[in-house]
Amino acid sequence: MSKTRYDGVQIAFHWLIALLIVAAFGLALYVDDLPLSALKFKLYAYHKWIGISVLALVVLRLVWRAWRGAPSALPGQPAWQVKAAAGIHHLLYLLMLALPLVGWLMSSAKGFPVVLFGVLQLPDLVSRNEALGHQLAELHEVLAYLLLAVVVLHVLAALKHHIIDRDDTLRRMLPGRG
Amino acid sequence: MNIRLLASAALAAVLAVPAFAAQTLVPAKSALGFTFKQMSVPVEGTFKTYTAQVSFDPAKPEATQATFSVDLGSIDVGGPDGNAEAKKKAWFDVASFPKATFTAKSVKALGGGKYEARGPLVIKGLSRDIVAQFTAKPAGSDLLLEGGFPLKRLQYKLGDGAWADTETVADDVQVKFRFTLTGKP
Repeated sequence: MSKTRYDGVQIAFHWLIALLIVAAFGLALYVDDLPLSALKFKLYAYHKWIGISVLALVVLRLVWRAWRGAPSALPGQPAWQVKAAAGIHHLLYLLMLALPLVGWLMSSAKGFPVVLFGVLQLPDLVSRNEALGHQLAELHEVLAYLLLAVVVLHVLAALKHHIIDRDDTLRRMLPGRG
Repeated sequence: MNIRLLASAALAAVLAVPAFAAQTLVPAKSALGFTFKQMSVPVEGTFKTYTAQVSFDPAKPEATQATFSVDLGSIDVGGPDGNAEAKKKAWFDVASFPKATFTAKSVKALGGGKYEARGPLVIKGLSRDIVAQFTAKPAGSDLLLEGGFPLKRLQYKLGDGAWADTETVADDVQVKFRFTLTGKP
């Protein structure tokens, strides 16, 4: 039987990860302009914890998706839109993995390892290197804005389906009504 | 006999040899650093510039005389922002208190090549007694002292105000040193 909806676990993954990405993005924008302070250290740590959580959740989500599958696109849509949606989804997954990974690399290069939730110190992926740290920081920022752009497209497309096409595309990723 | 020559020779001798200090610190073969935790993340720092007047004979530690002076403006915590912050009033207040000093009041052997030094460490005008443990071993013709001691940063008002939150920057700081001394005690 082919699925018509995402299952409850997939829906939970989707919205939890979405929330965490928004939180991490907002924190980064705010923290960047803060003068060096105890608050800045705290918020940077939270940003890193959220990013690593996203990385872990996305890996679990992909495992779940490989096991449970995902509903195929609703019938009667132009082929280019189906392809575009698949491309956007692949890009989202790629960025959700790459962005926290680059952040982790950058933490290692800058000599401030990630201690997840203040408890679990993650291994350094590269040794300390100030120049590499700066390059990774720039890459992290570029990827973040790229993710922002892709998320905006994703949201606009979902709203277009919901409001203009009035189809079930968005509804099948919403909790409730099975 | 030329009295003036004799007097200036004597004066030169006095100026060249401080009260004790027979040994000289070799900066290129020495290091002074510290580690602390920031949001549970271990962070390392160093001081680049310091001087010492030391007379330490491993066979007679009780006779030790030693003073150390650290140029706090030479702090390096791994980045320009952190280094600038560390010199500000809330931290070391380098403008008002440029140096930290340690004077060994007593040194004793603990056995097995280990020693313990006690004395006041003065930072930011605040004096607190510390206990440093170290090993002493010959390195060629030099003497290598390696060790460290713990301190609580808030006892020296390091990180006043909003920085006093020890969840963000831990109170415990571990100081580590490696001093190479040359010359006879």
